[in-house]
Amino acid sequence: MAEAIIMPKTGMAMEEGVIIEWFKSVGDKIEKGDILAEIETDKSTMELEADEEGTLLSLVYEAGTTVAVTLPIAWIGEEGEEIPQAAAPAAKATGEVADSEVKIETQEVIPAVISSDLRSTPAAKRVAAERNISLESVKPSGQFGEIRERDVLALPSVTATPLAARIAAEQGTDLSTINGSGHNGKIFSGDLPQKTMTPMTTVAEDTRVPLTKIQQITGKRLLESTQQIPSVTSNMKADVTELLNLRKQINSSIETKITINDFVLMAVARALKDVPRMNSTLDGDALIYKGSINLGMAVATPKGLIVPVIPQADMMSLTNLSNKAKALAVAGREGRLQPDDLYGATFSISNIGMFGVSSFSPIINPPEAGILGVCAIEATPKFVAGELVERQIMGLSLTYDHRVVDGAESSVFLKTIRDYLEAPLTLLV
Amino acid sequence: MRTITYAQAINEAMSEEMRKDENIVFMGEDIGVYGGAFGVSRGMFEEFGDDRVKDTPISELVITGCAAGAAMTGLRPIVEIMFSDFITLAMEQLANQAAKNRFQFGGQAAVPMVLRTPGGSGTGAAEQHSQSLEAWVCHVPGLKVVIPSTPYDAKGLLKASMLDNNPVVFIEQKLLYRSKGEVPEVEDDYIIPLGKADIKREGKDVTIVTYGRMVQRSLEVAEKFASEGVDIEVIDVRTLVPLDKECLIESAKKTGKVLVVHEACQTGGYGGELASTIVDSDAFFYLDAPVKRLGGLDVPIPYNPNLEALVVPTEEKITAAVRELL
Repeated sequence: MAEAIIMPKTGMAMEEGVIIEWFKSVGDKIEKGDILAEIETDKSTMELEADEEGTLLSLVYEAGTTVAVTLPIAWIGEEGEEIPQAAAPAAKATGEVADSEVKIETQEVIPAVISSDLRSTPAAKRVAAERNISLESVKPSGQFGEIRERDVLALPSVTATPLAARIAAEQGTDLSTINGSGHNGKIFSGDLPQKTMTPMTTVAEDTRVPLTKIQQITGKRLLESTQQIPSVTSNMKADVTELLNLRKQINSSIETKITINDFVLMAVARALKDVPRMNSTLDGDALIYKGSINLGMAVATPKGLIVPVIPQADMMSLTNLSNKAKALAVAGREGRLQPDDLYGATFSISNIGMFGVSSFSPIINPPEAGILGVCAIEATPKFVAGELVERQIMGLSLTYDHRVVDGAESSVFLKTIRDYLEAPLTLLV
Repeated sequence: MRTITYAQAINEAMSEEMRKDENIVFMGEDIGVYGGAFGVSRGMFEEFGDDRVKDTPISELVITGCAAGAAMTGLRPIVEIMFSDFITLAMEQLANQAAKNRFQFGGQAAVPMVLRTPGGSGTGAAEQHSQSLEAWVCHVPGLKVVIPSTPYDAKGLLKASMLDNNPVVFIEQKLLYRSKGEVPEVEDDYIIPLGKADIKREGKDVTIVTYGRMVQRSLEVAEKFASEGVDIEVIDVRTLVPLDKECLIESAKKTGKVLVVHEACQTGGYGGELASTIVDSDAFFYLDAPVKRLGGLDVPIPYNPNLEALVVPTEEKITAAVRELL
């Protein structure tokens, strides 16, 4: 007969577990002790071992599903054997059906006698101790309401996985002294004393690596930023179809390759000129409007995140801007940046669109008033003049210091950037 | 194997040993010419003569005192007290002299005597002729106490008692005198050593610890339970002093449930000793129910035969007690 593999209950408080990964597929031959799946509980992850040998007949739930404890999650039996009707998933996750199953299970273990007047015969106590069974879980049948030996024997005895049993035998551990963490106290190898435990798999040891100086400083500044600045992040989408076409034209005619990021730098520099409050710094109860627009450009390097600066970006042509940005990025990755290259930014840009990020909340680099997060460009259906067409849409995430600009002004700034990007020729005039 | 009565088995034990050892003498009321109140000594007066089989005056004190003195001076007397109830009259000589002399004289004196006496109810002999007073003598250090339940045990145990160099109180069961059982041929001499209990029926579910007339009754109850699938072990203690504690403890560990049965009044009865022997051992940890005692009611044995039958453990009472343990 097909045997159910249940979601193990590894602790009193555990109500559900997540199937992280199935290591076996339907039709696989299963030996006792084979690792079937990795299960995540609220506390940890564990490997689910097979108690039975046979053929894996069915996986009731896919990996990633949350399942109430003690529900069947897979079936093992003879090849071609029918699985009981109940094997079909009652609910994809822990639904009402799953809850009622749990309640039934709970009812069975409710102690019939409160521990304070728990009476049991010496024999019952002895057998319970031998089998590592708590008397509170035993239902008494004696004439005085006492727990008899037979009541203890009626409970399933302590069981262990084949692996746990083998390790226990090898290290001479008495299994009856072990508190099993599994269903009905089943003992897993992980329940055995650590000292002589044979590792089930080779687990890499933790490694401590000191932070680089850059990482330490960056971390400190980011923490200060999030703690001290009342920041807000707004998201907007820009249709960059035209921009991409323009870039294609430019790149096909000149040697220098203009990047999308170069267009963004240009658009931001222009927008900062249009909305100068975004290019200011809060100084006590006054604002300092910066005389020049210096764009910080976040660059990931092996030593940490650095933000080299393109000074007076608003004065530069697209080609100059592109060359400068490229040079700074290369110098940054190669660790050749000079201190001056990292000083004086009035606004920063962080571009992680190449990773496919659609929106995020960049952290302001103090004392700047804001930072623009540049997100991925995605081909998206869009109505243009009443027709549904494919357009290239870029995500923009602006984090701003609400003390410096309010929602309206920051939105005007963001919209200005978008407008430049959607009408890229305006950037070139 | 031949079948003889309990009374015959006792007669054979005495006669065979008296033929071997002329120092053995036998005295009591009406044991000679009359052959004993229950006919146990029939033929012995004729065989051994009035020098060795002596009819005595009606004085249990005198008979017992004579026996104790004779035992210390080299004879091996057997005394018969017609009813164990009359042991009251012999008690001074039995408890204060016979039991103590060996100790009193620093081991230089021995009192090799056997006091035979029938106990138990069931004959309509009423309150002064029906008691089971084994607890009285068990409480006296220096006395050994034997109660056989079958002809085979009676013969083997009486021979061991006669060969023992200490006073032995050998309590026969008057209701068993006519009961029959297999006993080896006369040529096949045997002795059952004192201090060895006998498992009369092996079982694994419940232990009944008993002796005397209640052994047979317990066996009958056990057979009835067997048809229900309840396997009862019946232990015949046989020798109350010295007691085969190990046998009781091992059985209690095996079954976890113990019923002690005796005909004597429950209060102050030897059943208390049997029960506490088990509880006071590692068998305690195997007990799956309180050790249960079933003794006679704490009343004098009634003359009315219906009432007499009811005051001692009946099959129904034993059955009910077993059910309480299950």
